[in-house]
Amino acid sequence: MVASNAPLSRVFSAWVLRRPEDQETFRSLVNEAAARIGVAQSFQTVAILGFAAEAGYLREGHREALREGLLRQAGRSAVIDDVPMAFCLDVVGILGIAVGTKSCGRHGLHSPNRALVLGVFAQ
Amino acid sequence: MGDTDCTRQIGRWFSEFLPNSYMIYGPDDWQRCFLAAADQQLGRPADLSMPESAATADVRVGLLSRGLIHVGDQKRVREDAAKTLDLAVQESNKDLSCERAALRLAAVEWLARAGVVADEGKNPFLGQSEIAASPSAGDSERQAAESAQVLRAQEPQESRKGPIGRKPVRRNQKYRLIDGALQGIAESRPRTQEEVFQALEGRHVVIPPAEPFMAGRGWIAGFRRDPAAARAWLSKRWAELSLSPLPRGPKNPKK
Repeated sequence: MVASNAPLSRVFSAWVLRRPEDQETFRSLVNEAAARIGVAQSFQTVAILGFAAEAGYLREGHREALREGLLRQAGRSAVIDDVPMAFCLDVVGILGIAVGTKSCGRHGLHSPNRALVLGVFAQ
Repeated sequence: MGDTDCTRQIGRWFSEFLPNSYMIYGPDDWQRCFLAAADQQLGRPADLSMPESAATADVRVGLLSRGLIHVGDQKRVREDAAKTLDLAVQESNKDLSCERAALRLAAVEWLARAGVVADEGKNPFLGQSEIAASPSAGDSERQAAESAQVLRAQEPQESRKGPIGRKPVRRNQKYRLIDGALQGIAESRPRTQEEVFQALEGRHVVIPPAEPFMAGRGWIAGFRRDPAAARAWLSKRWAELSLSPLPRGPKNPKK
């Protein structure tokens, strides 16, 4: 396995495996991502919040960070000077954005107690 | 701005670049699975299709386990389940990206929970009740649980077959390795059978207990010793694995 310490890779792995022992790492990385606001919020940061939203681990402040991040990403150009931006090739990030968006659309950003429902990543 | 508008905006944004990400920027097939799953999440604004290659069965099952893709053809899901277990046994994880490896592991664990991995009625991981989604579970969990039901659902007449609906066949371990290698080689789209044998030789794949390879003590040596028999052996395995046919026509056209 090609190991990766990138936060998004670690969050994705924790999200997909849903192991209790990864819970602390997951929370920590999500909290770090949520603390980034404005231009400090990268594509990967928003994707991390997307996976967190799907897992039901988003606090009130996190939800707003996700919403802002999604809207900011949606305004980005995918190609500049005929060169595709890096996010076009970041398939894990794209998936995170998608599940986060769907989570927002289906349940709303203010859906309560989803974390309690899903258990593994419950607060 | 409402959440629906946000979804619409992201969908529109995806439709601007996902087709190129999928078709032009040259991702691997497993990465295309991710892109297609992302597209499905938002109602397919980019209209991407899910790759169907055998080598990405584990990715599809992993995505299914998280409720990220829909169960289409149930037979196909069972085939993917079987192939996932083969991949887990045959392929080393060391060359996989960590995301792919995690997804494969998730797929195998999910199959275990669904009872697909159970050997002789023993489930090494979890009880079947753990696959069932609770009434309050989220959409993804419910969808994953429904998919698991598909895997468990067998026709009555199939009840004496193996856990994934096939008759359990004891096969030489060498063939499992060879089949895995052939599937990998098929993805590289070889033009001739000789190229396939060269690839097998190059990958140092163990030779089968069959002629002419035993007598030749190698893939290429066996092929040169008896090309007709070697071609017949390869054609049979190729067909059994349902691999894409090699291109037809003259291999060495006259100039």
